[in-house]
Amino acid sequence: MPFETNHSLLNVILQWALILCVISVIGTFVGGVSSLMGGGKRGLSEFFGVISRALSDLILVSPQRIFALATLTTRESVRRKALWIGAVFLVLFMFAGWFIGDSDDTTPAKAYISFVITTIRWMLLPLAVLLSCWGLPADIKDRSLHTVVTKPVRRSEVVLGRIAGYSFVITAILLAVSVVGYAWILRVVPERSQRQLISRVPRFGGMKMLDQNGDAFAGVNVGDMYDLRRFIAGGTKELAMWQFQGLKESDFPNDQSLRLEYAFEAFRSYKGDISTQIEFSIDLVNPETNQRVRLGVQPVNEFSSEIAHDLKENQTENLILIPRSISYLDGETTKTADLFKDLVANGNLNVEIKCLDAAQYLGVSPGDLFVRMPDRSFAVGYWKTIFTTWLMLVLIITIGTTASCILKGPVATLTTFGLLILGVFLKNGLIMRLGKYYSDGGEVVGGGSVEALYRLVSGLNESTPLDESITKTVIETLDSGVYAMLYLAQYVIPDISVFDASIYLANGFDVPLATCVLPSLLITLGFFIPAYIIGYFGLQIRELEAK
Amino acid sequence: MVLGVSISMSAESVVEIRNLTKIYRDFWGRAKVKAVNSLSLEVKKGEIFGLLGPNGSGKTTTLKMLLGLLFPTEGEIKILGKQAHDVSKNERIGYLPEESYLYRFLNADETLDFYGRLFNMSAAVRKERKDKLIEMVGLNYARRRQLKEYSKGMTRRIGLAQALINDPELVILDEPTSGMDPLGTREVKDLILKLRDQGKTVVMCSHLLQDVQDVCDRIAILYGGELKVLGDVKDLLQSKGETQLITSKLDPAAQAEVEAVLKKHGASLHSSSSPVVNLEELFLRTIEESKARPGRRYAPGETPKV
Amino acid sequence: MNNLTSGQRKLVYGLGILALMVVVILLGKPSEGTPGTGGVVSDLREKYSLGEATLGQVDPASSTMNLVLLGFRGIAASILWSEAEHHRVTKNWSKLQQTAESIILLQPHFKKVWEYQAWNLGFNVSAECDAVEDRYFWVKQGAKYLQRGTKRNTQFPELFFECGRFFGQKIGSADEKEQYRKFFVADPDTSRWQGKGDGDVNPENKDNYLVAQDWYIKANAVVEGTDIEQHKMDLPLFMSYPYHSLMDYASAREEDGHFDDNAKIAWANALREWTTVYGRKVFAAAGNGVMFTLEGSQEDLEKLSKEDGQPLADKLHWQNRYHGTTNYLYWKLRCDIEQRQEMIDARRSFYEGKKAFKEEGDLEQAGKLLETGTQLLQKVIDTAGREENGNSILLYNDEGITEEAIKSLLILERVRDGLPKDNFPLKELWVDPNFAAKRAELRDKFIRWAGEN
Repeated sequence: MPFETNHSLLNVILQWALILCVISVIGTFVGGVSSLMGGGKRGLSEFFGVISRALSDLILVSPQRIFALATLTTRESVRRKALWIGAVFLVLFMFAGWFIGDSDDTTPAKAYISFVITTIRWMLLPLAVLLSCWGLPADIKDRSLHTVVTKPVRRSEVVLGRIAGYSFVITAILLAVSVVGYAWILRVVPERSQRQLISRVPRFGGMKMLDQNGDAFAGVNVGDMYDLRRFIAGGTKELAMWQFQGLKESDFPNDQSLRLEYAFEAFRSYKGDISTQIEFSIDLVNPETNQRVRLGVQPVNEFSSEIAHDLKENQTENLILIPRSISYLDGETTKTADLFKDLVANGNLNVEIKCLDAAQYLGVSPGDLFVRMPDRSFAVGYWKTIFTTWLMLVLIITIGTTASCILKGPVATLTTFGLLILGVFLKNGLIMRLGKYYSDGGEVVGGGSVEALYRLVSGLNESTPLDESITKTVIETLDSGVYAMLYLAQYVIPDISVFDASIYLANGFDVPLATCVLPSLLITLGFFIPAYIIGYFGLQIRELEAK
Repeated sequence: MVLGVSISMSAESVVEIRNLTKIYRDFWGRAKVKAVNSLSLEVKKGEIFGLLGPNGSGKTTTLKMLLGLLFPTEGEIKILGKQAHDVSKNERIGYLPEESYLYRFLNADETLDFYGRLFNMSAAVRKERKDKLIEMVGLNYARRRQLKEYSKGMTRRIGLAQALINDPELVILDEPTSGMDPLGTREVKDLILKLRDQGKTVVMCSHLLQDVQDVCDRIAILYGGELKVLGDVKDLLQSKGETQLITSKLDPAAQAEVEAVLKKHGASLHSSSSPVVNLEELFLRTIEESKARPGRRYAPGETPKV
Repeated sequence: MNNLTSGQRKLVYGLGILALMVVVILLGKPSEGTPGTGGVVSDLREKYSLGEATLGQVDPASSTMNLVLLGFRGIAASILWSEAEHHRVTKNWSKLQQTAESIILLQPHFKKVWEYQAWNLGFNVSAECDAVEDRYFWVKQGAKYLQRGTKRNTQFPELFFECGRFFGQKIGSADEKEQYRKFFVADPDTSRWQGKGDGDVNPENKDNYLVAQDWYIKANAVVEGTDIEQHKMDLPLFMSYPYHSLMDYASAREEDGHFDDNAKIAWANALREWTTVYGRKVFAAAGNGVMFTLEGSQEDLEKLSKEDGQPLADKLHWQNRYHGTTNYLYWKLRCDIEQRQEMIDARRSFYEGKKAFKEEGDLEQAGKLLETGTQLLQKVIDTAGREENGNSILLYNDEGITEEAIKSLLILERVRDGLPKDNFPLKELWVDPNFAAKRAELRDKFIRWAGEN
């Protein structure tokens, strides 16, 4: 699985704090200047009055009042029949077979898991948006909020109470549907796929590929459009080497074997013997002493993990078990080596893979070989997935509530949905494009939107350079402005795909804390704080009467 | 009867408005309506103050500015010694909005409990106040019904109850009797008077002059956002140049004698007719009369016996 | 507005509903299977084959999906198609399969979907796997997909035909045919099928060619006696597939090394079906509708001519033309020849000779056996007859026999260090320039197969 293995969390947090600070400072400055210009000295003192009030309002909130408002919000949602979504969900499950298609007992668990998680996500997502975007505007429109804010209620408490209330409702619904979903998965996954209901814990290592001369190289592309895996030639000195770190003896108690799991691809340059698979060798190498142990030879079992494994006797997964004490052949003599004493040096271990069949190729990618730490139960991964889903829903509620503090219901809904759509579908593409744009020094074939429009109208094709003229300067300046705006915008769009832990779960992996749960948590928090502040000001500065 | 009650005016002012102006602007920031124009007035502690005026005269806008729901374009507001935007002032204020803007999915109990919580009241206090207020506004029979099933009058009553949940010093009532039947109106008016007797200050606005006349100590009349009249009701309604005589039915001879007497003292008889009571009093007395003597019917030509 | 009381109004509504219901029932009552039992609409639907039920099994999920999507079915289907392509490119096979399932929910009666996606699974995905078992798994997935297509669409002869192709050609003549044919009767998933073939594709545990024959017969049944057309090939060719399957079966058995009496029986069977069933089918010539049978003497055609009034000359002409198209006479001859003991013995000699050469390394024995084989085959070729220019009918019509003969000669050349200078059996194959390309190709293959020494 091509999972990211590294994330510098501290950097992310610092960057976030920096952005927040910069925005706050700019906001304060602009606000101060404009109030000075508008109202002179008095305006300025009023402005600082607003700021100091805001600080106390944002911090000195009363839990009891928030609780009261949250309870009210919950009641409102319940009376608005929001809980019916649970019933719809149940019905969906009853007929789930329809959507999964013709399932027999070789259907992989993946299909069922994806179905449950996707259904939960996409059913609760619009619910969260609709719930959170319509409550406050309706309150303002019916002026029931008047009655509330003429009590000693801070507007910040209204925002928090709303968020808390909606979160509570969505939590209750999410819990209910997740329990149903969990039971459903356990019940309907065919017996032979039941063993795919597991949370594998991978420990990835860095990979590099070495060519005939032992120099690093990128591997061969055998003509696949999908360039995930690069290939090494069989029967040569080319190899792929994984460097694992942090392997501790204590992680494998009771003399447990160290398990290596792999998923390689084979590419045949000629047909060869069809009935024998392409094979590769595995060498364990001590990175310090260079002691080398050849573990033996394995067939690639290309894409076998996709289907039921017990097709092949004595083999359930692409697993290589490495016992504590390894017997191996060194020339003619059989020797033994101790895994942790002889091979693992300070937690580091190198694993080398070579393809054995001459003129055949073996495709590898960094995630293709990993140390499989002791497995966790499916429930662990499932509930972690539900937790990240919950974080996503809370994020949506936060954004929705904030939007509804400023905008009317329909507009808030559109805004939130828009942000979500950007977050789900466009964020990655946007970041990629922007990264390319800035790394290329602002050069884009055909230019930005203004230039593209100009080319469209003037009938210039995209590779013809524009004439050096004032027009060109203007166009390029405008375009770089657009790019700068997009550059800023990418930070406002939440990356919703981070919350989708189902790719881990469905493929039988535990949901990693560092690359999924924690980022989700940080994104939610990172959006919560500014959203709370914006929502507060939205309500505070706004004349609730004005329609 | 109302007018006969004398009040002791305290000098301490609960609401102070100086030079208050509110301009509604359109989307582009252009002035659209001047809803309140240089309004200055003061409400003293312990009085019932009425804001009068036709629809759109700026009564409600003024109240909302007092409460911090709207921001004044110019001028100053001091309410209970605090700024209008100061949330903590609300601890001591009770507000009944124009049309009880309450949560229609709550019942009376839940409504009062909810607003009680907003004052950080303990559960015991909430229960006590809740019971007392529901009893007071006469909604005991409907306390478990959702507000969406309430009639307008009932909603008004529960609105009034929520305004009093915190036992406020200052009660602001926007059209307190609108939508109520005469009986209810009377009850509300009695309640307002009772509040004053408890030492509370009441600010109310209404376009029902009769209500205002009945309960208010002082009134201000707004028209087009400007203050037109301000003063004691007693003084304002007393027509100093006139005396109204009400006697038992006189025969024409006796009437002529009376006129002669008047002429002797240099006064003239402007009109002579049976005095007219206001409609409300008539309605109330009719009901009271009907209750006292059931079965009595209206007959053509009969004038109601007052 | 009106003066009716509430009760009267309800009565009027009730009567209205009743009246409408009567009309709806009259028009829309579903049929009980026999024509005329349904309502007007249902009868019309049946008459013009418009109902879903007349196309095949109705899937409630599919109908629901189409209903839920309102008018957006086309868009949704397009998105799914591109998703499926994405999954194929990124090698996410189980997702590809799922997406293919979703597509058929939206387009259950779109023939191309079934054909295309079955091909995708059975050919493209299958080829990506390295283990033969895994390849076979995906071939089966493709076949199962197509099978369901035939259930949902009973009026597409092509889908039945493609099923036959999967079980016949895909399993029987792929590179992995040796393993596939074995797997077909003894699935590698032994724990599930207990040593038998996959019950979903081969419930009776028959040879793959016999299962293919069943599907071809079903395809024929859809076309025969109805006005449903197939759009694959000329009808007489299309209809010949079940009978070719029997020949394939007989020859595949021999390739597997079974030369018992059943070999003869299998070929006899093929001949009988070819001449008495296929040969007796009445076809209409393309374009002019002249009716004829492929088997049948002039008298037979004369009889037919009397029945339908078409001139005998036309019938003879078209019978002749279609003999060419379908190679009818050759296959008849072939079935006949293959039954002969000499031919069976020749084949056995080739089979065993090859085995002795490759597996046992007994070059002496191999040479002896292959020599016997070539002599026997030469005899058969001579008795089978020659065309006017002297070309052997057998060799010029059947690549299979030609290939086997050349391969045997190649081995013979190796074990004997060259073939005799003067005359030797099957020499015509060795010298005829028409076979030069074939010889070169097979020599290449042979070198790789046997290894240069």
